[in-house]
Formats: sequence, structure tokens, C-alpha cells
Amino acid sequence: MLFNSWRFVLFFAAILGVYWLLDRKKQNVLLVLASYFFYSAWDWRFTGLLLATTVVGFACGRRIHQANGEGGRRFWLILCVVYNLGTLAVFKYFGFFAENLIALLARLGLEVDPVILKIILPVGISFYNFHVLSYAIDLYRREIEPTPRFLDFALFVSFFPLLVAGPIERAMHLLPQIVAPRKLNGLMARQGLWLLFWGLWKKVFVAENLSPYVDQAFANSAALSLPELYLAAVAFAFQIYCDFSGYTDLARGSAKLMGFDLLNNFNLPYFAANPSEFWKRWHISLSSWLRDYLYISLGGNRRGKANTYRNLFLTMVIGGLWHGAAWNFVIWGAYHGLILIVHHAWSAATSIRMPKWLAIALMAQFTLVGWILFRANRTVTEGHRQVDDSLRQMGELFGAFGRGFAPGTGLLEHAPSILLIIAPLLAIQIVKYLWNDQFWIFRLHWAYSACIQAFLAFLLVRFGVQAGDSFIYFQF
Amino acid sequence: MLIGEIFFRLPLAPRHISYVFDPVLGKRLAPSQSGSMWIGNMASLSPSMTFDSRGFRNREASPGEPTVLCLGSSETMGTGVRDSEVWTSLLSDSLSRVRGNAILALNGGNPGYGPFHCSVILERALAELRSELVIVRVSMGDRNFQQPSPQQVEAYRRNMERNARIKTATLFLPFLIDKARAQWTSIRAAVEFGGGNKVYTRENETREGADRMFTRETPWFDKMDSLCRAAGSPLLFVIIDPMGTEAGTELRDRFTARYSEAGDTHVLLIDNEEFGLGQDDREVRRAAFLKTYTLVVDPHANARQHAVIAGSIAAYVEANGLAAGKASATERPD
Repeated sequence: MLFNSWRFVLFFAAILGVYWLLDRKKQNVLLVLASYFFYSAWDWRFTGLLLATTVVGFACGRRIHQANGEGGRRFWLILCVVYNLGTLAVFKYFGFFAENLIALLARLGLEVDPVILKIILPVGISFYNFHVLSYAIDLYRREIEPTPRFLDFALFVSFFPLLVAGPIERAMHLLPQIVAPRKLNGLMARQGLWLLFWGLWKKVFVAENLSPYVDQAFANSAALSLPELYLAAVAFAFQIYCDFSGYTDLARGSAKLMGFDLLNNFNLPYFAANPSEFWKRWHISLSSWLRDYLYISLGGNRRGKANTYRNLFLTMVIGGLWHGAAWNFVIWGAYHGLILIVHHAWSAATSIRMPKWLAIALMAQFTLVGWILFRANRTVTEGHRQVDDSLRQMGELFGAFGRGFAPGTGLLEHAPSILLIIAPLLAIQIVKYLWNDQFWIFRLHWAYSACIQAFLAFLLVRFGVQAGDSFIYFQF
Repeated sequence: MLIGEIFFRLPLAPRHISYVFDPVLGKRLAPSQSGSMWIGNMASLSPSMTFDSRGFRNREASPGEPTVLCLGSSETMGTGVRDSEVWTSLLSDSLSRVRGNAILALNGGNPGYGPFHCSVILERALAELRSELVIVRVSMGDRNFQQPSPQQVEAYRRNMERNARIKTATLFLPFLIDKARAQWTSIRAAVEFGGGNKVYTRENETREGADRMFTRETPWFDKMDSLCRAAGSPLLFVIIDPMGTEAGTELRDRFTARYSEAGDTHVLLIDNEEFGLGQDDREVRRAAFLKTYTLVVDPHANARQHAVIAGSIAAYVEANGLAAGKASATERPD
């Protein structure tokens, strides 16, 4: 059930219509039932896994809180971590590790029969597992109290606006909202409706219109000229941003209309002036999760430069792997780890600072290189298996540096269309950056606001593409 | 409204293909035009399409140029793909390479056209040109496209006149109304949990369904066969059945039994083997077909499917010596 579908609109309208007639406890019951219905619309077979993860998380949480001594607390934390990472390992990474192990053994001269398991990746597993892990780790660190009601915890894990593609909420941020009565005032309603409209516009007008150009380009990796590679990277950069942030805005908007305030997951990431700032602006909920639960657990920056750089690198590699079981994601994560390390080292070693606009432009180029790595996610069919071919595709893409300005695939003919699609978004992003306000539209005189919204609505109605089969981040 | 009205009157605004009234068919594609059409319940605009002076989707034929006449529905016209990706265009290229000289496949496909419509187009075309081969694409979906009644024809005429009057006053409002209707279709589909794809049903796959379809459309198939015999043009019925169903086999058998005994009428079945869909479970095959061979926003054929069809037809034509370069002319001699 995609957010940009009539099915979701009807579902949400029905839920909302009943929601505000109920008291808090009944609202939570309604939301849990609605969330499981929402999830089962994706794939009912994995509602059992969602429920099991919820039960394990709740039970482990209580045991962590009740345990006598550090040993007992650690035992229940480890159990929870092993369960959650174990399910991720089985459903998401088994094939990847098995395939690479078999390939490695083959290189060493050991032929092993491939274990072929057609394991389906449950939608949203990376997101709700991280919800449960953050709850358990926060309890262990004594930063929160356990929630006494299973139903409230179940809602925290399965809350439908963020169930399948985040943002990755923290227990200390969302649970208090679940256990407290909610209110909806005029401002929240306006903000919620604006987020819904803006998210839909980004997804249906920008992301969906860029998608065919990106698909065409990356389907012809070996033939792209250098300018075409750059254009494809730009198009993908805006496609993935609008796809993902559009979904997040739809999630936040629908949550706001129910009285919830979800974490802001994006803050103009392409205006970042350095790698560190980029990760404070892109997929903020994931990068902060990795920082708080992985980077700091590894030691953070407390044990000298070498350990700091190691911890940064490992965190980013694992962050890359979180996005998918393929080498391109690992390499993308490693790439961002490397530029983070270089940035840290440079900042520590020198006080030279470049003008902000230049830093932003330069960081954007580094980001584009990263997106080329990220999008090189090709698989090929060998027998009955889908095999990771991303390394070969990366080679083909970066071969554009050798192909230079040779005749390519004809993508450059579409440059005007691509730039026309991106232009209105860029104009609005510049305004948001200068005013530093995600609800900039409310600061305008009503007449200007109406004109801009009418123009955006026209673009949406006239040029919006309705039938995308998913949001990019659903596969994670 | 003002923004929309201004945009729709801009010279650079995307043009839509148009239809003209036809007293027999109800409507047909206007000649000598280029433009796009909505696909996927107005989800997206198709690539631009170009039509010649006959309303066929191909470049203008040169005087005396050999031709192959291709007829069918929107899948022949090539909804959602570029001019160069349609199977008729690919067939032109392929046959030209084999023959060593150019031959143009005339694309007389039209959305919503079934065997009745094809027989009318064929009759009109053969009155003014001679083709080395006539190809008629047939599929089970054609059973939904029947001869319009006089009331339906009259309704087409009235609608076209009314739309022309509205467009003198506003261009944006008709678009908004169409868009609202499309959204209403989507809402109904959402409520019906999958809704009704009226073109495709399980009957499309059964022997009985094929038998009913063939029996009802036989008069038009007979007419096309007669017209081609009289014109001395070989006729090739191409049955598209990517799922490899009983219906496809039944149609092929019925066509073969009725038309291949005498004359130069041929039957070609393109099924799951040509599409490489194997013999897996039906639902697995269907999912693979939709993912590999249809447009993202619309169940019409994508470029890959057109390529498979063109390749299969070209191979059959070449193997059977059809359109092998007999002396012919685009225009019939007086």
C-alpha cells in the first residue's frame, strides 16, 4: 500500500475519521490494528515476524530493566541484539555472505555446492529491527524506562507511517508521545497537510519523472559518455532524494495529523559543506542511530586518531551494508567513510577554510560520485539465482572517464527535460536554505503562498506520474 | 486554472494525438500528425508518435516503395513506446536488411480496434495500394473490440463535435475533467482491491474462450482473407500469447484449419517459448511477463516485447519466403 496511492488515501481517511473520536488507549489499539493491516497489505506472511520481533523486544526490555546486576542486564541485551541482527542476517544477508564465501572457496580451489535459498526480504525489516534495538540499548544505558504496556510498545515498533521506510524513531522520542494524550491544533493540521502535499509532489512529480532517465542511463552503463555519466548522477541524486524525503514527508504529515511529531530525516543534504555535515542532513535518523549505537559503542573518538578513523570507517561500511546485501553498498559506505576521515584529518591539520558556496559545490561533486556507486546495483541471472554484478557495473560506469566525450547513449538530449524537472525543486530548496525553515511556505503572504501552491499543484496534476511500483528505500 | 490555461496554449506545450470522426468505425487516428497520448490511466504521457497522411504510424512512404501492411489494436500501434521501437518499425529494418532494399511496414494499428475494424482498414488500404504482405495481429483481448453500433457511431460524432466546441473556450478544463475521471477509476480500483481489468480475464486463457472469440469474429477474418486473395497479397495472422495458454493454441488450430488449405494465408503463434518465460507456475510466468515485457505504468507492451514480436515475425517471413521482393508498388496501378 504505497503512500501515493488511492488505496492508502482511503485507508488513512478511514483511520483518521475514527481516530479522533477515541480516547488515547483506544487510539493506540486502533493504530496497532491499522499498522498490522497496513503491513499485511505488503506481505501478510511476515506479520508473524513483525509480531515475534515485537514480543522479543518487549520481553527482553523488561528483563533488562528487572535483571539484578550488570551480567544479567547484559545477557538480555545480547539476546535481543542477537535475535534482531540474526533475523537481519538470515533474511537480508544470508545470500550475500553465502555467495561470497562460495566464490572465495572456489578461488582457493575448493568447490562447494551452492546453497540456494530463495529468501524473500521482508519489507521494512531494517527499520523496525533498529527500533527494537534502540529501545533495548537505551534501556541498558538507563536512558529510558521500559514501557509497561505491550500494546504501546507494539505501536512503537509497528507504527504504520514509519514502518516500511522510516524514519528510524528513538524510543525516547516516540514512546512518550504514544503514552500521552495527543492533540491536534490548527498549526499542526496545516503543517501535516503541507508535508503531505510537499512529499507527494517530490515523489510524483520529481522522482517519478526522473526515474525513466536514470533507468535508461544505468541500463547502458558501458556506453555512457562522461557528460552522460554526470547527468545521470545528477538525475539520480535528485531522484533518490525526492523519493526518500518525499516518503518521509508523507510519513511525517500523516503522523502529524494524528498528533505525532516524527523525527525530521532530511535537512537540505545537498547544501552540506563537508562530509560530516552531509550525514547530519541526509537520512538523519540512520546516521544518528549509527553514531549513538555503533560508533560510540566502538569507542567513538575517545581513543586517539587512529581508533577514531577506524571507528568512522567501520560505522560507514556497516551503514552502507545496511542499505543492501551487495558490494556496491559496501563500497559506497567505505567511500563515505574515507571522505569523512580525510575531512577530519584535513580540519585537524589545517585552518584553511574555503568559501561556503565553493565548499557546498565541492561536496556535491563528492556526493555525486557516491551516488554512482550506490546506483550500480545490477544483478544477473545465473541459473535460478540472482547474482550480484555491481562490481562489473561500477567498472563500466567509471569507464566513462576513458570514453570521455565519445558519442554515448543519447541521454544528453534529455538534459533540458531533466533540468526542467529539477529547477522548481532547486528554487524552493534555496529559499528553505536561506530562511532555514522547513515550513517556509507559511512565512509568505497568503497571496504569494497561494500562487506558489497553485503552480506546484499544476505541475503535480499535469506532469505527475502516478504509478511508481515502490519507493527506492523500501528495498532496504 | 489560469496557470493551466496559459500552459496549454503555449507553443511548446506537449501535443496530444487526435482522432477524426469515421462514419463506419466511429473514430480513427487523424492523418499527418504527431503527438503523445496518456497511458496508464493518465499516469504518464507516452513518447511522441508520428502518423503519415493515411493515419498510419510510420514515415510517409515513397512512391513505388514496397510495403507490408500491419493491422491490429493499440499493441500494434505501439502505445507507450517510441516510433523506432514499435514492432512494425523493427520489422521494416529487419526485412530491409534481408532483402537488401528498403521495405516499409505500414502501421495501421489503432487503440480499440478489433477484427471488424481491421477488416475495414484493410479494405480501404487495398483499394489504393498493394502490399507484398498483410499482417494482422490477433490476441484474445480483441474480443472486447467489436463493431460499433449506429448509436455508438452517432455518440462518437456528437462527442467529437462537443469537445471541439469546448476546446474553443478552454483547453485546461477538459484535461482536468479527464484527470478527475481517471482518478475516479483509480479510486474504484482501490476499493475493489484490484478492480476489474476489463480487457484481461481468465476467459482469455481457455480453449472455450478462444472458441467463442473465433466464432464471433470469423466473418471479419473471412473478409480479410477474401480481400487479400483478391489483391494477391499473402496474409499472415499473428497470434500473440505470451503466457502460452490453451487459448493461444486453440486460436492457432482454428485459424490453420480454416484458412491454410488453399491460397497464401499463414498463421504464426508467438507464445511463452519466444518470450523465454518457460514452463513455471502460471502466476510466476505472469509476474515475470509483467515485469519484463510491459511498461512500468501500463500493461501495454514495452520495447522489449516489441523486439521479440518483430524478431519472431521477421524469422517466419524470411523462412517462408514472404515479402521476398516481388515487383510491387505502393500505389495500385490504375
